[in-house]
Amino acid sequence: MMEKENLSLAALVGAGFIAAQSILGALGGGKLLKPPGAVSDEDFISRCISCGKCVLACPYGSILTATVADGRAAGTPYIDPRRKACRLCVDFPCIEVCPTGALSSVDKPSDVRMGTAVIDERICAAYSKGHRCEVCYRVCPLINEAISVEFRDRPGDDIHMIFAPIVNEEKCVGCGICVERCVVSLPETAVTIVPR
Amino acid sequence: MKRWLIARRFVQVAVWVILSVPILSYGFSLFGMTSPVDNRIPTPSEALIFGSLSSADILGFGITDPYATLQVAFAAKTFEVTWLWALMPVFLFYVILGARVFCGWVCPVNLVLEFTDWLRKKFKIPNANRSLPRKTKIGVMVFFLLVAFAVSQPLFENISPIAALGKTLLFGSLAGLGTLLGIIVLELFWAPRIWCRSLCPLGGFYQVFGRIGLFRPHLDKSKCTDCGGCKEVCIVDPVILEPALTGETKKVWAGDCMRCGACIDNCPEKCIKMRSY
Repeated sequence: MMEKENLSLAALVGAGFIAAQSILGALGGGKLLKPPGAVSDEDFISRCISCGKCVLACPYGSILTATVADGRAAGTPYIDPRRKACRLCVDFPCIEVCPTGALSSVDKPSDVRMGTAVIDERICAAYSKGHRCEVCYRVCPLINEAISVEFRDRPGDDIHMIFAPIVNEEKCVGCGICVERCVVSLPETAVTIVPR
Repeated sequence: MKRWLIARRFVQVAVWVILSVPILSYGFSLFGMTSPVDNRIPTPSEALIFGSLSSADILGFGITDPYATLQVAFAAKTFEVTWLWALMPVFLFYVILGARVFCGWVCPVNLVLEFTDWLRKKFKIPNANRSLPRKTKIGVMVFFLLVAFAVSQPLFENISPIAALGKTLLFGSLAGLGTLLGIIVLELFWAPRIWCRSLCPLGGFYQVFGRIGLFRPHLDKSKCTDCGGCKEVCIVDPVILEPALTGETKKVWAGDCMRCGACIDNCPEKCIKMRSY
């Protein structure tokens, strides 16, 4: 038989674990940009054991690990595209080393679905200032597919045009290189990735 | 000469050297300090061995922590045969030697908590000396499988203190450090050695298979003087030595024994031996 004080200790420890779990759950609002090959947020979180092999397999040092401040994602790998975006290796070494299928195989870079780039027209140099920036368009590995440039009239200006970058949501893989290279830093970039 | 202690400290440290060397030899930095680069570079994943205690590749063959895999099976509600090939070498290695050999010889948390216990004794920190039955950890192990099922996430792996130190060292993952700190405080002031003895789910997992192992301490009752030296140093729980000390059994049969050899080192009559027969 358990003694009374043992029972209270057991209850306390149990409560501690449950508290820790609910804190993680409560904090887990924001989705992180996961390495390529993650099927969905739910599937990835259910399979990732935070072993870190993808971090050590990334040839560009793009992959970081989340802290408890990231809630449910604590310990799992993510990519901060402003620091270093995913370079979409053709052989996907990060997927190759994943032991549990949290990152599952992808045929080719254009099949990756990490997220979608979204351009904030209010701060984008092309839209808001009329600059012919085109940086996101030029660096996009799927140039003319995921990001294309559309010529638009500039209101109140009969001579100049706006070279507007347009994201094709069907084609964008969410690698984040447009975020890494965006010239706007307020510190928000004009382009961000909405993770899948 | 505390031969078992020396051997054990050597292994406890060697594990981290073995896992750190490939990272450093490929020009990566420890503690996740590797700077991102623009041109593709070779990575530690091409080394003969790389990874962490959760999962590693040895000569291209992947091995994975069996309890972590079990949690994923509960969380993702699926099982893939390839997982079995990865967990079996680890499972069989430890279970054949004596399952909790992992706890005694490999787990970094045990190393830290052995130091915590030394600190507590050295500075005579007042402690409430609470304890829980050792089999509580089997319950904790099952509990985290049920949690994994309920929240569809191998939650223990996200905040595991076992991972914390190694993963901080190898790639700067800080997620489990809070848990480890909590355990250290708990043990310093409240319940000495309670994590490894009664709470750790991974310890509970290996405890279940602990009676299968080949090696276990064998006590020669004819030479024993009942000095109690072995019980003083047992890092699991001195109670597990009782059946052998009373002559009821010849060996320490408890599934909890970590085969750490502390009792052997501390026996003045040299009447305890680690034997496989």
